[in-house]
Amino acid sequence: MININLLPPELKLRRLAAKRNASLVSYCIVAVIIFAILGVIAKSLESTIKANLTTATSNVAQGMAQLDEDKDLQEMALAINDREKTTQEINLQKVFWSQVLQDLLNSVPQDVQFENFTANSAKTPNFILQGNTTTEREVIKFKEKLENSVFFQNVAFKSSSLTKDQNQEAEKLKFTLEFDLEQKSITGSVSGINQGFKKMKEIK
Amino acid sequence: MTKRKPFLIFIISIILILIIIVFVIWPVVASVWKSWQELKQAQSEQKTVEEKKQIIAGLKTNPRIPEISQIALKYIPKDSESGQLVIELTAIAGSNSLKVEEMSMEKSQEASAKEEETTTASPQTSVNPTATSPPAAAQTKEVDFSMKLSGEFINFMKFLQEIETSSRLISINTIALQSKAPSGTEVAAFDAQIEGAAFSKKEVSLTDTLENIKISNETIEKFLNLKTFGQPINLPTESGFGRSNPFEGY
Repeated sequence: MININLLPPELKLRRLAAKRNASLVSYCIVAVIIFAILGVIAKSLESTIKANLTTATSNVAQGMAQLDEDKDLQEMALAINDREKTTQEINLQKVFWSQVLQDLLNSVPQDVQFENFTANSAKTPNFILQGNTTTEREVIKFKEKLENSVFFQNVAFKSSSLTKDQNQEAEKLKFTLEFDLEQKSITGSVSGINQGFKKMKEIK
Repeated sequence: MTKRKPFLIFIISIILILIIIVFVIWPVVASVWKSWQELKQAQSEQKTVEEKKQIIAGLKTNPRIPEISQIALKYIPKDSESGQLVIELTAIAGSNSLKVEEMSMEKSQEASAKEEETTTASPQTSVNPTATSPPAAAQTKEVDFSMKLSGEFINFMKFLQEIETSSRLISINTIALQSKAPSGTEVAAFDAQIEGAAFSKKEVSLTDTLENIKISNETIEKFLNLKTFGQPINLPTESGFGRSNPFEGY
């Protein structure tokens, strides 16, 4: 079957244009409606979120009010932790002399007596020790023992002199040793705790 | 006119869409975004508050928190408390049969300022206890003291141990020991001169975070195990004040 359009060409073109316009209008209306719907959805989303926000904010305010009742307890906890943290930081720099001196005592040979001993954590040499003993051998034994200790380093034999006590006939060897602190405590070290423990193992 | 008609329809639609976007969608989206951010923040705050409540509830189960707080604030007090320091040091020495021959206190100074001085004064030192400035200890003040003691060495060792566990944080910087006995004798008497510092801190420098209000058992144990030596001065209960002639012997 053959369709023959007998409309005049002008009318035909007008109809086509009208059809095209109609479809364009419908597309535009659909687009506008879609955007309008999007606007409505956004509005409802906004009201939902605002309602949730109001609830959450009031919950926070309520919780804060409850926490305010225990503010003293919080301040106490904060003060305790602050002091603990400050202590830890100070202890990192602090020398635990009881441990250091105990290790020094453990290193002293039987025939060594101290006369003067100075320890200064901020000035090298950290230790100056003057004492007396029977022979140089004892001083060197003492020096070796200190060098093997985890607490001391740079042990230097400074001087020795033979003296005779007025009341005694036996001669005494006066000596001076200078050395530095290597580790400030069993837990805190100057040159590294691992190194300290390694050295401790070696001694054992 | 018919040629322009589709163009006009298109333009009107675009204008309508733009009006909807500019006056409805854009402000709503902006408001939703802002509210969403606020909601997120509020929810996170709510979570923090809940966690904080739990921590506080945990703290409430320990009735010794006020006592521990007092101990901590005595360990590093807000003010220099040099009087209590004298009492503490003297009591530690006395409890170990050491005689305090001399004692002096110096004006408290900022720990950080002192650190700088020490660093510049002895740049070659191998052991510099104050080479780095720790943040929490930055607001700490030092109360310097020096003491001259006499007694026996074994008691001096106990004195050092007790200073390390005393109820006041004390750091000894220098020790000078001199034997009193003639060389070769068995008498162990000696003189000791020590210099050190106690610490004070005016403000709490930790921020109010969840981590900072949790108290570990280790911290509790540590503060509870500190030993107090000197009895603190309590003026309202101390008697024996008022003399008609203070130049008379007492």
